[in-house]
Amino acid sequence: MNRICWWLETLSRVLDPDERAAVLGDFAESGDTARQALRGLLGLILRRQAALWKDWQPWLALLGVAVVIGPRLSHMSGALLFPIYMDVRTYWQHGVLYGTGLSTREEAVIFLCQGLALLVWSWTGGFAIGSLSRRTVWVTGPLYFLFGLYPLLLTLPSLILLPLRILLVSTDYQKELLLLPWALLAILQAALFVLPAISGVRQGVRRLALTLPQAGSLAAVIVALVAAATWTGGWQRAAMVRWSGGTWDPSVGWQNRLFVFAFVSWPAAYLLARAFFRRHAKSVHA
Amino acid sequence: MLGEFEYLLLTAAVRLGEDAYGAAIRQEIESTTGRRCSIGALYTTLDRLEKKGLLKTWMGEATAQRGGRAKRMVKVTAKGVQAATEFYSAVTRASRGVSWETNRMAVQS
Repeated sequence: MNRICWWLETLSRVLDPDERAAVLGDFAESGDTARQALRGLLGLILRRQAALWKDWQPWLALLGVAVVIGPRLSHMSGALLFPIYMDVRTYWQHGVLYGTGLSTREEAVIFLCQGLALLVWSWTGGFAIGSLSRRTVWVTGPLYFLFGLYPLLLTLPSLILLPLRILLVSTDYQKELLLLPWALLAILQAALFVLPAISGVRQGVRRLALTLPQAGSLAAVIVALVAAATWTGGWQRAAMVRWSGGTWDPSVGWQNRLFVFAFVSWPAAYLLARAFFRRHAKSVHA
Repeated sequence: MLGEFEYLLLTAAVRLGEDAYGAAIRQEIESTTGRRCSIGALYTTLDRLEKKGLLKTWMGEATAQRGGRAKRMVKVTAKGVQAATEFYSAVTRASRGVSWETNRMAVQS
């Protein structure tokens, strides 16, 4: 094979630069067909990737962040945005706002505290994934985003088919159009989770670790946000209790909320510990 | 002890001497064994042997034939020569008296 196909060049970007040059040069020199070269390259890439997964870091990124925290954050963003959806939908249908029992000021404070917490958790989880699994981030990163996007992905087929449904099937187009606020909120949910997560992953891959002051500041911000989110989460519960005269208490207690919020904050603790041990190792060697 | 493919790779590298690099070693193994040599197996085995200290590798010069890309040069260390010698001795000892060894010697004589 004298000329390297563009797709072989593209695929080989997964390899280290030196190895990429050596392998592509070997293909150029050899009598391999494009198909043989592709098989050889795929075999090498699979072997290299399999070797990376022998370490614990990619597994921690996959199982500890992408698979466990990703869905949790997605669920939290859905819970945060659901009152907004109900407000929009109720106003659309009946001309009045959905009664949550909370004042507008309280709703704004809840959205601000929990929305900020969600942004910071998403970014921190993304950074942890990028720094833990730099060379396997093409597996762990997309999984993290996928779990954050799944509400939007579930809505997408219905949204795409919406014009057809209105034209061909539905007798009540206004009912069909109720899908639109839901779709908009799903997009907003993706923005609250996925955009900071992408930024976090990119920073994590580029920088690998935070400095001790940066990690300390991040941890302090997260502690404050966990406290604020736990506290404001109780307002909705109190409103439900007032509204039902004490007979209906659907929400979880503050201890459970605190546990969940602390759990999704573990990447910040990891980054802080890592920064601390790096500083300690540097001072020992100095 | 070395594995079969590791031995083949070290032997090919020693035979090629200063011209030992990825593509040449691969071609040498294929011509000697009559079997295709996977580039994935070749490069991962090179890494493994280098970690064991049995050979050294470095990036050589680029050539026009390779589209301006560098070669990965290989040199077997003294430890690698010793490991290959031990493997050969073990195989030779294990093969004494077996039918394909006695047949080979009869054909040669």
